[in-house]
Amino acid sequence: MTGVVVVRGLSTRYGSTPVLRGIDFALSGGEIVGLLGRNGSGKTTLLRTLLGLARSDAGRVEWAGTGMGVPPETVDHFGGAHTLPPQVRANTWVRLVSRGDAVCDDRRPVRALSRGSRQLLGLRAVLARTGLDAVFLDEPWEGLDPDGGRWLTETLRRKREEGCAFLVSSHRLHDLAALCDRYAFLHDGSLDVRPAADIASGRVRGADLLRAFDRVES
Amino acid sequence: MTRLSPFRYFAAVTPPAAPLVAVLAILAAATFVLESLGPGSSDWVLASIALVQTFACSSGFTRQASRGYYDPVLLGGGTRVRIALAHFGISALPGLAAWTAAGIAGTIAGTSLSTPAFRPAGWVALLLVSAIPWAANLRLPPFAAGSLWLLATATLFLSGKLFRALTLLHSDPAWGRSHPWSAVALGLGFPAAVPSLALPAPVLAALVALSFAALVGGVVTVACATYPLSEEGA
Repeated sequence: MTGVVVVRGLSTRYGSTPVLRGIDFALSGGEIVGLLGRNGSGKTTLLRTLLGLARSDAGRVEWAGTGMGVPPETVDHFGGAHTLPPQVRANTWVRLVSRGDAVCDDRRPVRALSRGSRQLLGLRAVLARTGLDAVFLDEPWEGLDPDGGRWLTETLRRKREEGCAFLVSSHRLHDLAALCDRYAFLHDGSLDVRPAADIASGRVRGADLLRAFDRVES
Repeated sequence: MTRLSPFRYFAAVTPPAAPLVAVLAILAAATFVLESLGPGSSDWVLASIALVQTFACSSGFTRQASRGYYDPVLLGGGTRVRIALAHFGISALPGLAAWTAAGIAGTIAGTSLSTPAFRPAGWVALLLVSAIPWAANLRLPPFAAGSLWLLATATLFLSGKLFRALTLLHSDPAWGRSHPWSAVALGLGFPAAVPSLALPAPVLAALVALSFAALVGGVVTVACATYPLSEEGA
């Protein structure tokens, strides 16, 4: 396997409960992989373990550029509105996280913003960065209004064309269905990765995805 | 691609608590006023700065990191060692600034660099109250290590042990040389008093070694820890 990140035999557990069991996976440049799974199935744990932010008990994660389990600086992540520090000012956050590639006029602290505005702020800061190789997003559509959702979908498409890879965890199946090249179903600690072409058919791709998801779960 | 500076990140995202910075600024200004009234009259202010510094450096890391607040800097391309040192630097900076200001005030008033803040014992005290609370508080809520240290000092003082050692050291400056471990314990128990105590060089060296050991331990803690989101129950 080759790619921006390659994972072999990744396993982790919380106490005695296994969360990830021997996961093999590779994310290639210029593709969007949708990460699906029930609540508590370990999607966030998988994202953070790949990024080196959470511990793994076994297996290897190799990032292109470093050759180690530590991602290069061309990789970024947004874990959701709740991961924004509440006291930091919106304009400061955007300037810092985007490395100066974006500006924001809003000087209010993050805690003064609505949940949807915080979500959009965090996404804009990360996705404004240029030269990114990979971005991991955890429930990115959560809290966004329709305009924000459309902006996100279009931005992901545009950055994919620029060669950026995305691993996107979401329950919003319709949004994922409009975007993803592959789907990774996380169930009982195992990852089942399928090409989108194998799943989508007809016009209502989200519904097909839901049926595929249920098949994997059963 | 511009690398995210950990120092700038922590300065913007988790700066030292504003009330503590305000108190340190007031104390620094007070040294200039007191020293202008009479050289050496502001020595007690150093003890106050040291006390506030124990709280300023009890900033904590793991809790914020486990909420995802430090994700950008942890993924920013810098080494974890650099991140840890930047976090320590930001935590210690206000106290260092106040300490330096107090030293400058003392130097101007006394027309000598041999002011308590700038003597070796002064720098040792500052290092002690910066490094140990920072390292001890990494996994704790903010201000926990400072509170525990203050509680331990108060308990020792009320028990009479600290007072007895202080009296012995003041009455016999050679006491520290003949009882080095007791002198080290005195420095740890009452770090705010270290600048005004006649502690021998080996004792000061031991306190520096302890401070650096704490600092290294803290850096290793940050470097080796992982940060699953706390909402996952980890």
